[in-house]
Amino acid sequence: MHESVLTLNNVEAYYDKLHIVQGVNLLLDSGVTSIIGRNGMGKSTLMKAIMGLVSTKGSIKFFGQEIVGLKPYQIAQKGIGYVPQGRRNFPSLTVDEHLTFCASSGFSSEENRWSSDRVYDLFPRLYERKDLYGTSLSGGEQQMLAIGRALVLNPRLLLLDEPSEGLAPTIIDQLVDVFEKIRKENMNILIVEQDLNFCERVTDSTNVMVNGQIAFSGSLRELRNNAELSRKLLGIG
Amino acid sequence: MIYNLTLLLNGITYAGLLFVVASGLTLVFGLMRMVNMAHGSMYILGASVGWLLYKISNHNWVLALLGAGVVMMLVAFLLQLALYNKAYGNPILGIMISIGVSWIFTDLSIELTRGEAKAFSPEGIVGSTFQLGELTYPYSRLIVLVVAIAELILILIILKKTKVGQIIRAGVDDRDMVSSLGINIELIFLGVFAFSGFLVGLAGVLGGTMVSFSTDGAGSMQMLALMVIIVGGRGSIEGAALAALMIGLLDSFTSAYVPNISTIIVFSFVMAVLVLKPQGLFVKEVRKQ
Repeated sequence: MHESVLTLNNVEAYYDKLHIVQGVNLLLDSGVTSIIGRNGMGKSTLMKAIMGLVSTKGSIKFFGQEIVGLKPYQIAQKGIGYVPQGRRNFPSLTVDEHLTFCASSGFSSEENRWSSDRVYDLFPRLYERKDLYGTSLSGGEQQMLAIGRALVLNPRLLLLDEPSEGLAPTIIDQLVDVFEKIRKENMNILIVEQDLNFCERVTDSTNVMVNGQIAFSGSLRELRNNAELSRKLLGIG
Repeated sequence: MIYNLTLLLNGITYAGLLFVVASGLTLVFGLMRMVNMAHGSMYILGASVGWLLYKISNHNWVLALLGAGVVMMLVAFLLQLALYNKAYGNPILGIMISIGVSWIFTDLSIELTRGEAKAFSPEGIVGSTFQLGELTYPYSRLIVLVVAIAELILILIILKKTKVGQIIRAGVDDRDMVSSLGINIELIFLGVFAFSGFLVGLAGVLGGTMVSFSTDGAGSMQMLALMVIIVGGRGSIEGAALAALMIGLLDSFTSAYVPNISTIIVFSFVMAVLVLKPQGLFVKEVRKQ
Protein backbone atom coordinates (compact mmCIF):
# COMPACT_ATOMS: atom_id res chain seq x y z
CA MET A 1 0.00 0.00 0.00
CA HIS A 2 1.17 3.46 -0.75
CA GLU A 3 2.28 5.22 2.42
CA SER A 4 1.69 8.93 2.87
CA VAL A 5 4.51 11.12 4.16
CA LEU A 6 2.53 12.91 6.80
CA THR A 7 -0.98 12.25 8.08
CA LEU A 8 -2.57 14.77 10.42
CA ASN A 9 -5.70 13.71 12.19
CA ASN A 10 -7.72 16.21 14.18
CA VAL A 11 -4.61 18.10 15.28
CA GLU A 12 -5.06 20.83 17.86
CA ALA A 13 -2.20 23.03 19.01
CA TYR A 14 -1.82 25.72 21.56
CA TYR A 15 0.53 28.65 21.74
CA ASP A 16 0.73 30.45 25.09
CA LYS A 17 -2.61 28.83 26.01
CA LEU A 18 -4.22 30.22 22.85
CA HIS A 19 -6.00 27.56 20.84
CA ILE A 20 -4.44 28.28 17.46
CA VAL A 21 -4.72 25.08 15.48
CA GLN A 22 -8.27 23.76 15.76
CA GLY A 23 -8.69 20.29 14.36
CA VAL A 24 -6.52 20.03 11.28
CA ASN A 25 -6.85 17.01 8.99
CA LEU A 26 -4.23 16.77 6.29
CA LEU A 27 -2.76 14.07 4.13
CA LEU A 28 0.62 14.82 2.66
CA ASP A 29 1.82 12.78 -0.28
CA SER A 30 5.36 12.72 -1.57
CA GLY A 31 6.51 15.75 -3.50
CA VAL A 32 6.22 19.43 -2.76
CA THR A 33 3.15 20.69 -0.95
CA SER A 34 2.27 24.07 0.46
CA ILE A 35 0.01 25.51 3.10
CA ILE A 36 -1.07 29.04 2.36
CA GLY A 37 -3.25 31.49 4.18
CA ARG A 38 -3.37 34.97 5.58
CA ASN A 39 -1.41 36.10 8.60
CA GLY A 40 -2.45 34.69 11.95
CA MET A 41 -4.32 31.68 10.58
CA GLY A 42 -2.17 29.19 12.47
CA LYS A 43 0.24 28.07 9.73
CA SER A 44 3.43 28.57 11.74
CA THR A 45 1.91 27.02 14.84
CA LEU A 46 0.98 23.98 12.78
CA MET A 47 4.63 23.68 11.71
CA LYS A 48 5.69 23.94 15.34
CA ALA A 49 3.15 21.28 16.27
CA ILE A 50 4.66 18.91 13.71
CA MET A 51 8.13 19.62 15.20
CA GLY A 52 6.91 19.05 18.78
CA LEU A 53 7.63 22.65 19.76
CA VAL A 54 4.14 23.51 21.05
CA SER A 55 1.67 21.47 23.08
CA THR A 56 -0.36 19.42 20.66
CA LYS A 57 -3.34 17.04 20.71
CA GLY A 58 -4.55 14.65 18.02
CA SER A 59 -2.48 12.42 15.82
CA ILE A 60 0.43 13.22 13.50
CA LYS A 61 1.85 10.22 11.68
CA PHE A 62 5.14 10.50 9.84
CA PHE A 63 5.61 7.57 7.45
CA GLY A 64 3.07 5.74 9.58
CA GLN A 65 4.74 6.45 12.94
CA GLU A 66 2.98 8.56 15.58
CA ILE A 67 5.09 11.60 16.48
CA VAL A 68 2.75 13.57 18.78
CA GLY A 69 4.27 13.51 22.26
CA LEU A 70 7.83 13.05 21.05
CA LYS A 71 10.46 15.68 21.82
CA PRO A 72 11.70 17.91 19.00
CA TYR A 73 15.07 16.14 18.80
CA GLN A 74 13.33 12.76 18.45
CA ILE A 75 11.09 14.10 15.69
CA ALA A 76 14.10 15.54 13.88
CA GLN A 77 15.87 12.20 14.19
CA LYS A 78 12.92 10.50 12.50
CA GLY A 79 13.78 12.55 9.45
CA ILE A 80 12.19 15.99 9.54
CA GLY A 81 14.35 19.00 8.73
CA TYR A 82 12.90 22.26 10.00
CA VAL A 83 13.60 25.69 8.48
CA PRO A 84 11.76 28.06 10.81
CA GLN A 85 10.25 31.44 10.15
CA GLY A 86 12.91 34.10 10.67
CA ARG A 87 15.64 31.47 9.98
CA ARG A 88 16.85 31.36 13.58
CA ASN A 89 20.50 30.92 12.75
CA PHE A 90 22.94 31.01 15.65
CA PRO A 91 24.80 34.26 16.30
CA SER A 92 27.58 32.32 18.05
CA LEU A 93 28.28 29.77 15.33
CA THR A 94 30.08 30.33 12.05
CA VAL A 95 28.47 29.38 8.75
CA ASP A 96 30.69 26.32 8.56
CA GLU A 97 29.78 25.27 12.10
CA HIS A 98 26.07 25.51 11.25
CA LEU A 99 26.61 22.95 8.51
CA THR A 100 28.69 20.49 10.53
CA PHE A 101 27.68 20.48 14.21
CA CYS A 102 24.30 18.84 13.64
CA ALA A 103 25.10 16.90 10.46
CA SER A 104 23.86 13.34 10.28
CA SER A 105 23.81 10.63 7.65
CA GLY A 106 20.04 10.59 8.19
CA PHE A 107 17.92 8.97 5.50
CA SER A 108 19.77 9.76 2.29
CA SER A 109 21.43 7.18 0.14
CA GLU A 110 25.21 7.47 -0.06
CA GLU A 111 25.25 9.26 -3.43
CA ASN A 112 22.51 11.72 -2.45
CA ARG A 113 23.92 12.53 0.99
CA TRP A 114 24.02 16.18 1.94
CA SER A 115 27.32 17.31 3.44
CA SER A 116 28.59 20.83 4.04
CA ASP A 117 30.51 20.51 0.75
CA ARG A 118 27.36 19.74 -1.19
CA VAL A 119 25.57 22.66 0.48
CA TYR A 120 28.47 24.89 -0.60
CA ASP A 121 28.07 23.58 -4.17
CA LEU A 122 24.39 24.49 -4.00
CA PHE A 123 25.04 27.89 -2.40
CA PRO A 124 28.52 29.09 -3.43
CA ARG A 125 27.93 32.37 -1.57
CA LEU A 126 27.90 30.47 1.71
CA TYR A 127 31.33 29.04 0.96
CA GLU A 128 32.68 32.56 0.51
CA ARG A 129 31.28 33.41 3.95
CA LYS A 130 32.01 30.18 5.76
CA ASP A 131 33.95 31.79 8.61
CA LEU A 132 31.40 34.52 9.31
CA TYR A 133 28.88 34.23 12.11
CA GLY A 134 25.35 33.03 11.38
CA THR A 135 23.53 36.29 11.84
CA SER A 136 26.05 38.57 10.12
CA LEU A 137 24.84 37.46 6.69
CA SER A 138 22.29 39.12 4.41
CA GLY A 139 18.67 37.92 4.56
CA GLY A 140 19.03 35.75 1.46
CA GLU A 141 22.27 34.20 2.68
CA GLN A 142 20.71 33.51 6.06
CA GLN A 143 17.84 31.71 4.34
CA MET A 144 20.33 29.63 2.34
CA LEU A 145 22.14 28.80 5.58
CA ALA A 146 18.94 27.75 7.35
CA ILE A 147 18.05 25.51 4.40
CA GLY A 148 21.57 24.09 4.30
CA ARG A 149 21.46 23.40 8.04
CA ALA A 150 18.27 21.37 7.56
CA LEU A 151 19.66 19.54 4.50
CA VAL A 152 22.75 18.22 6.30
CA LEU A 153 20.40 16.34 8.65
CA ASN A 154 19.54 14.35 5.50
CA PRO A 155 15.84 14.32 6.34
CA ARG A 156 12.95 12.66 4.54
CA LEU A 157 10.82 15.78 4.78
CA LEU A 158 11.80 19.43 4.76
CA LEU A 159 9.47 21.84 6.59
CA LEU A 160 9.94 25.42 5.46
CA ASP A 161 8.14 28.26 7.20
CA GLU A 162 7.84 31.29 4.90
CA PRO A 163 11.13 30.78 3.05
CA SER A 164 10.51 33.72 0.68
CA GLU A 165 9.76 36.23 3.46
CA GLY A 166 11.70 39.46 3.03
CA LEU A 167 13.81 38.24 0.10
CA ALA A 168 14.61 40.10 -3.11
CA PRO A 169 13.08 38.68 -6.34
CA THR A 170 16.43 37.47 -7.67
CA ILE A 171 17.05 35.52 -4.46
CA ILE A 172 13.56 34.04 -4.72
CA ASP A 173 14.38 32.90 -8.27
CA GLN A 174 17.45 31.16 -6.86
CA LEU A 175 15.36 29.45 -4.19
CA VAL A 176 12.95 28.18 -6.84
CA ASP A 177 15.89 26.59 -8.67
CA VAL A 178 17.16 25.09 -5.44
CA PHE A 179 13.83 23.47 -4.60
CA GLU A 180 13.72 22.11 -8.14
CA LYS A 181 17.13 20.48 -7.59
CA ILE A 182 16.28 19.11 -4.17
CA ARG A 183 12.98 17.56 -5.20
CA LYS A 184 14.66 15.67 -8.01
CA GLU A 185 16.43 13.70 -5.29
CA ASN A 186 13.07 12.60 -3.92
CA MET A 187 13.09 14.97 -0.98
CA ASN A 188 9.59 15.70 0.28
CA ILE A 189 8.91 19.32 1.03
CA LEU A 190 6.16 21.13 2.92
CA ILE A 191 6.19 24.90 2.56
CA VAL A 192 4.14 27.42 4.52
CA GLU A 193 3.82 30.61 2.52
CA GLN A 194 1.95 33.84 1.99
CA ASP A 195 3.46 34.46 -1.43
CA LEU A 196 1.16 32.69 -3.90
CA ASN A 197 3.38 33.30 -6.92
CA PHE A 198 6.30 31.64 -5.19
CA CYS A 199 4.08 28.71 -4.21
CA GLU A 200 2.81 28.31 -7.73
CA ARG A 201 6.36 28.00 -9.01
CA VAL A 202 7.47 25.30 -6.60
CA THR A 203 4.54 23.25 -5.33
CA ASP A 204 2.35 20.53 -6.76
CA SER A 205 -0.64 20.90 -4.49
CA THR A 206 -1.73 23.34 -1.88
CA ASN A 207 -3.84 23.64 1.24
CA VAL A 208 -5.43 26.82 2.51
CA MET A 209 -5.55 27.41 6.24
CA VAL A 210 -8.28 29.63 7.67
CA ASN A 211 -8.82 30.20 11.38
CA GLY A 212 -6.85 27.18 12.49
CA GLN A 213 -8.40 24.72 10.04
CA ILE A 214 -7.71 23.49 6.52
CA ALA A 215 -10.41 25.05 4.36
CA PHE A 216 -9.24 23.90 0.93
CA SER A 217 -6.99 21.21 -0.49
CA GLY A 218 -6.25 20.92 -4.17
CA SER A 219 -4.26 22.61 -6.88
CA LEU A 220 -3.36 26.25 -6.72
CA ARG A 221 -4.62 26.77 -10.25
CA GLU A 222 -8.04 25.51 -9.27
CA LEU A 223 -8.07 28.01 -6.44
CA ARG A 224 -6.93 30.85 -8.68
CA ASN A 225 -9.60 30.12 -11.27
CA ASN A 226 -12.29 30.26 -8.65
CA ALA A 227 -12.45 33.95 -7.81
CA GLU A 228 -15.15 33.58 -5.25
CA LEU A 229 -13.32 30.86 -3.36
CA SER A 230 -10.00 32.69 -3.29
CA ARG A 231 -11.71 35.85 -2.12
CA LYS A 232 -13.39 33.92 0.65
CA LEU A 233 -10.29 32.00 1.76
CA LEU A 234 -7.47 34.41 1.06
CA GLY A 235 -9.16 37.77 0.75
CA ILE A 236 -7.82 38.30 -2.78
CA GLY A 237 -9.13 38.42 -6.32
CA MET B 1 53.71 51.25 46.04
CA ILE B 2 53.96 47.81 47.68
CA TYR B 3 50.57 48.48 49.21
CA ASN B 4 48.97 49.18 45.84
CA LEU B 5 50.70 46.21 44.26
CA THR B 6 49.27 44.00 47.02
CA LEU B 7 45.81 45.45 46.41
CA LEU B 8 46.21 44.79 42.69
CA LEU B 9 47.24 41.19 43.29
CA ASN B 10 44.45 40.73 45.82
CA GLY B 11 41.94 42.04 43.29
CA ILE B 12 43.20 39.79 40.52
CA THR B 13 43.31 36.65 42.68
CA TYR B 14 39.90 37.41 44.16
CA ALA B 15 38.68 37.78 40.58
CA GLY B 16 40.08 34.29 39.94
CA LEU B 17 37.93 32.88 42.72
CA LEU B 18 34.86 34.78 41.50
CA PHE B 19 35.42 33.41 38.01
CA VAL B 20 35.67 29.79 39.19
CA VAL B 21 32.43 30.25 41.14
CA ALA B 22 30.52 32.16 38.45
CA SER B 23 31.65 30.38 35.28
CA GLY B 24 29.49 27.32 35.96
CA LEU B 25 26.55 29.50 36.94
CA THR B 26 26.71 31.52 33.73
CA LEU B 27 26.82 28.41 31.52
CA VAL B 28 23.85 26.95 33.38
CA PHE B 29 21.95 30.23 33.20
CA GLY B 30 22.79 30.71 29.53
CA LEU B 31 21.84 27.23 28.47
CA MET B 32 19.00 26.25 30.79
CA ARG B 33 17.61 29.79 31.36
CA MET B 34 17.55 28.87 34.99
CA VAL B 35 19.01 30.97 37.79
CA ASN B 36 20.33 28.41 40.23
CA MET B 37 19.75 30.15 43.56
CA ALA B 38 21.49 27.24 45.31
CA HIS B 39 24.84 28.03 43.69
CA GLY B 40 26.17 29.95 46.72
CA SER B 41 25.15 27.17 49.08
CA MET B 42 26.74 24.62 46.74
CA TYR B 43 29.94 26.62 47.10
CA ILE B 44 29.72 26.36 50.91
CA LEU B 45 28.72 22.68 50.76
CA GLY B 46 31.74 22.06 48.53
CA ALA B 47 33.97 23.76 51.08
CA SER B 48 32.37 21.75 53.90
CA VAL B 49 32.75 18.44 52.07
CA GLY B 50 36.35 19.43 51.37
CA TRP B 51 36.81 20.20 55.06
CA LEU B 52 35.53 16.75 56.01
CA LEU B 53 37.91 15.08 53.54
CA TYR B 54 40.74 17.33 54.74
CA LYS B 55 40.23 16.15 58.32
CA ILE B 56 39.78 12.48 57.43
CA SER B 57 42.85 12.43 55.20
CA ASN B 58 45.05 14.10 57.79
CA HIS B 59 45.24 17.42 55.97
CA ASN B 60 45.65 16.25 52.39
CA TRP B 61 44.72 19.48 50.61
CA VAL B 62 44.80 18.17 47.05
CA LEU B 63 42.49 15.31 48.00
CA ALA B 64 40.12 17.77 49.69
CA LEU B 65 40.13 19.99 46.57
CA LEU B 66 39.47 17.25 44.02
CA GLY B 67 37.18 15.31 46.36
CA ALA B 68 34.98 18.35 46.89
CA GLY B 69 34.83 18.82 43.11
CA VAL B 70 33.83 15.22 42.44
CA VAL B 71 31.27 15.06 45.27
CA MET B 72 29.64 18.31 44.14
CA MET B 73 29.61 17.06 40.56
CA LEU B 74 27.61 14.02 41.69
CA VAL B 75 25.33 16.22 43.80
CA ALA B 76 24.65 18.45 40.79
CA PHE B 77 24.06 15.45 38.54
CA LEU B 78 21.42 14.04 40.90
CA LEU B 79 19.91 17.45 41.55
CA GLN B 80 19.39 18.00 37.83
CA LEU B 81 17.92 14.54 37.29
CA ALA B 82 15.61 14.62 40.30
CA LEU B 83 14.49 18.25 40.49
CA TYR B 84 15.86 20.90 38.18
CA ASN B 85 14.73 19.29 34.93
CA LYS B 86 11.15 19.71 36.22
CA ALA B 87 11.65 23.46 36.00
CA TYR B 88 12.46 23.34 32.28
CA GLY B 89 10.85 26.39 30.67
CA ASN B 90 9.53 27.72 33.98
CA PRO B 91 12.03 30.19 35.50
CA ILE B 92 9.93 31.04 38.56
CA LEU B 93 9.60 27.38 39.48
CA GLY B 94 13.37 27.03 38.98
CA ILE B 95 14.04 29.87 41.39
CA MET B 96 11.65 28.48 44.02
CA ILE B 97 13.04 24.94 43.79
CA SER B 98 16.62 26.12 43.97
CA ILE B 99 15.94 28.39 46.97
CA GLY B 100 14.53 25.34 48.77
CA VAL B 101 17.60 23.34 47.79
CA SER B 102 19.88 26.13 49.04
CA TRP B 103 18.35 25.85 52.54
CA ILE B 104 18.91 22.11 52.58
CA PHE B 105 22.52 22.49 51.47
CA THR B 106 23.18 25.22 54.02
CA ASP B 107 21.84 23.01 56.81
CA LEU B 108 23.99 20.14 55.57
CA SER B 109 27.03 22.42 55.65
CA ILE B 110 26.22 23.50 59.22
CA GLU B 111 26.06 19.79 60.10
CA LEU B 112 29.48 19.16 58.54
CA THR B 113 31.25 22.17 60.08
CA ARG B 114 29.20 22.56 63.29
CA GLY B 115 28.41 26.01 61.99
CA GLU B 116 31.92 27.32 62.69
CA ALA B 117 34.01 29.39 60.30
CA LYS B 118 36.86 27.31 58.92
CA ALA B 119 39.99 27.95 56.92
CA PHE B 120 42.20 25.43 55.19
CA SER B 121 45.79 26.06 56.25
CA PRO B 122 47.74 23.16 54.79
CA GLU B 123 51.44 22.68 55.36
CA GLY B 124 53.85 22.79 52.46
CA ILE B 125 53.76 25.11 49.53
CA VAL B 126 49.99 25.77 49.48
CA GLY B 127 50.07 27.24 52.98
CA SER B 128 53.31 29.22 52.58
CA THR B 129 54.27 32.61 51.19
CA PHE B 130 56.77 33.76 48.64
CA GLN B 131 58.97 36.82 48.39
CA LEU B 132 59.04 39.11 45.38
CA GLY B 133 61.33 42.04 46.12
CA GLU B 134 59.82 43.67 49.14
CA LEU B 135 56.51 41.95 48.65
CA THR B 136 55.48 38.88 50.63
CA TYR B 137 52.53 37.09 49.14
CA PRO B 138 50.73 33.78 49.89
CA TYR B 139 51.00 30.95 47.38
CA SER B 140 47.38 29.97 48.01
CA ARG B 141 46.13 33.10 46.26
CA LEU B 142 48.42 32.46 43.34
CA ILE B 143 47.13 28.88 43.08
CA VAL B 144 43.56 30.15 42.86
CA LEU B 145 44.58 32.38 39.97
CA VAL B 146 46.38 29.54 38.20
CA VAL B 147 43.32 27.28 38.56
CA ALA B 148 41.07 30.06 37.24
CA ILE B 149 43.27 30.70 34.20
CA ALA B 150 43.61 26.97 33.48
CA GLU B 151 39.84 26.61 33.73
CA LEU B 152 39.24 29.58 31.45
CA ILE B 153 41.56 28.13 28.80
CA LEU B 154 40.01 24.67 29.12
CA ILE B 155 36.44 25.95 28.76
CA LEU B 156 37.36 28.17 25.81
CA ILE B 157 39.01 25.23 24.04
CA ILE B 158 35.94 23.07 24.68
CA LEU B 159 33.58 25.81 23.50
CA LYS B 160 35.53 26.77 20.38
CA LYS B 161 37.03 23.49 19.23
CA THR B 162 34.71 20.65 20.12
CA LYS B 163 31.32 19.54 18.88
CA VAL B 164 29.92 19.65 22.41
CA GLY B 165 31.17 23.23 22.63
CA GLN B 166 29.40 24.13 19.39
CA ILE B 167 26.19 22.61 20.74
CA ILE B 168 26.55 24.59 23.98
CA ARG B 169 27.13 27.86 22.10
CA ALA B 170 24.18 27.22 19.82
CA GLY B 171 22.08 26.19 22.83
CA VAL B 172 22.82 29.45 24.61
CA ASP B 173 21.62 31.27 21.46
CA ASP B 174 18.45 29.25 20.82
CA ARG B 175 17.95 25.95 22.55
CA ASP B 176 14.64 24.99 20.88
CA MET B 177 16.31 25.34 17.50
CA VAL B 178 19.15 23.06 18.60
CA SER B 179 16.60 20.50 19.72
CA SER B 180 14.82 20.80 16.35
CA LEU B 181 18.08 19.76 14.69
CA GLY B 182 17.99 16.34 16.32
CA ILE B 183 20.21 17.08 19.31
CA ASN B 184 19.15 15.95 22.79
CA ILE B 185 19.78 19.25 24.54
CA GLU B 186 18.64 17.94 27.93
CA LEU B 187 21.56 15.54 27.96
CA ILE B 188 23.83 18.52 27.38
CA PHE B 189 22.09 20.36 30.26
CA LEU B 190 22.88 17.43 32.54
CA GLY B 191 26.55 17.43 31.56
CA VAL B 192 26.92 21.18 31.89
CA PHE B 193 25.21 21.26 35.27
CA ALA B 194 27.40 18.43 36.60
CA PHE B 195 30.47 20.32 35.34
CA SER B 196 29.23 23.47 37.06
CA GLY B 197 28.92 21.41 40.27
CA PHE B 198 32.52 20.25 39.90
CA LEU B 199 33.74 23.83 39.49
CA VAL B 200 31.81 25.18 42.46
CA GLY B 201 33.13 22.30 44.61
CA LEU B 202 36.70 23.24 43.65
CA ALA B 203 35.88 26.89 44.31
CA GLY B 204 34.67 26.09 47.83
CA VAL B 205 38.02 24.64 48.86
CA LEU B 206 39.98 27.31 46.97
CA GLY B 207 38.01 30.09 48.65
CA GLY B 208 38.29 28.37 52.04
CA THR B 209 42.07 28.32 51.57
CA MET B 210 42.47 31.82 50.18
CA VAL B 211 40.38 33.39 52.93
CA SER B 212 38.02 31.24 54.99
CA PHE B 213 34.47 29.99 54.74
CA SER B 214 31.42 29.84 56.95
CA THR B 215 27.90 28.70 56.30
CA ASP B 216 26.48 32.22 56.44
CA GLY B 217 28.64 33.14 53.43
CA ALA B 218 26.37 31.30 50.96
CA GLY B 219 24.17 34.32 50.32
CA SER B 220 26.97 36.75 49.62
CA MET B 221 28.74 34.30 47.29
CA GLN B 222 25.43 33.77 45.45
CA MET B 223 25.09 37.55 45.08
CA LEU B 224 28.67 37.99 43.85
CA ALA B 225 28.29 35.22 41.29
CA LEU B 226 25.05 36.77 40.04
CA MET B 227 26.76 40.14 39.75
CA VAL B 228 29.54 38.61 37.66
CA ILE B 229 27.11 37.01 35.22
CA ILE B 230 24.96 40.14 34.99
CA VAL B 231 27.97 42.27 34.08
CA GLY B 232 29.52 39.60 31.85
CA GLY B 233 26.35 38.65 30.04
CA ARG B 234 24.30 35.49 30.13
CA GLY B 235 26.26 32.44 29.07
CA SER B 236 29.44 34.31 28.14
CA ILE B 237 32.62 32.76 29.56
CA GLU B 238 34.90 35.56 28.36
CA GLY B 239 32.34 37.97 29.79
CA ALA B 240 32.40 36.21 33.16
CA ALA B 241 36.21 36.37 33.24
CA LEU B 242 36.32 40.10 32.45
CA ALA B 243 33.43 40.89 34.79
CA ALA B 244 35.10 38.95 37.61
CA LEU B 245 38.27 40.95 37.01
CA MET B 246 36.39 44.27 37.11
CA ILE B 247 34.45 43.38 40.25
CA GLY B 248 37.51 41.84 41.94
CA LEU B 249 39.65 44.93 41.37
CA LEU B 250 36.87 47.33 42.26
CA ASP B 251 36.22 45.47 45.49
CA SER B 252 39.90 45.23 46.41
CA PHE B 253 40.70 48.93 45.94
CA THR B 254 37.48 50.38 47.31
CA SER B 255 37.65 48.15 50.41
CA ALA B 256 41.12 49.52 51.09
CA TYR B 257 40.60 53.21 50.31
CA VAL B 258 36.91 53.84 50.98
CA PRO B 259 35.83 50.87 53.08
CA ASN B 260 32.58 52.50 54.25
CA ILE B 261 31.15 52.82 50.77
CA SER B 262 32.93 49.95 49.02
CA THR B 263 29.80 47.81 48.75
CA ILE B 264 27.79 50.78 47.52
CA ILE B 265 30.31 51.45 44.76
CA VAL B 266 30.44 47.82 43.61
CA PHE B 267 26.65 47.54 43.58
CA SER B 268 26.26 50.90 41.84
CA PHE B 269 28.55 49.64 39.11
CA VAL B 270 26.42 46.53 38.64
CA MET B 271 23.22 48.56 38.63
CA ALA B 272 24.67 50.97 36.08
CA VAL B 273 25.40 48.01 33.82
CA LEU B 274 21.84 46.74 34.32
CA VAL B 275 20.43 50.10 33.28
CA LEU B 276 22.80 50.94 30.42
CA LYS B 277 23.49 47.50 28.95
CA PRO B 278 21.08 44.99 30.48
CA GLN B 279 22.30 42.14 28.29
CA GLY B 280 25.78 42.47 29.84
CA LEU B 281 28.95 44.22 28.73
CA PHE B 282 30.41 41.41 26.67
CA VAL B 283 27.52 39.80 24.80
CA LYS B 284 27.26 40.08 21.02
CA GLU B 285 23.55 39.79 20.49
CA VAL B 286 20.50 38.66 22.39
CA ARG B 287 17.78 36.63 20.79
CA LYS B 288 14.33 37.12 22.15
CA GLN B 289 12.49 33.85 22.67
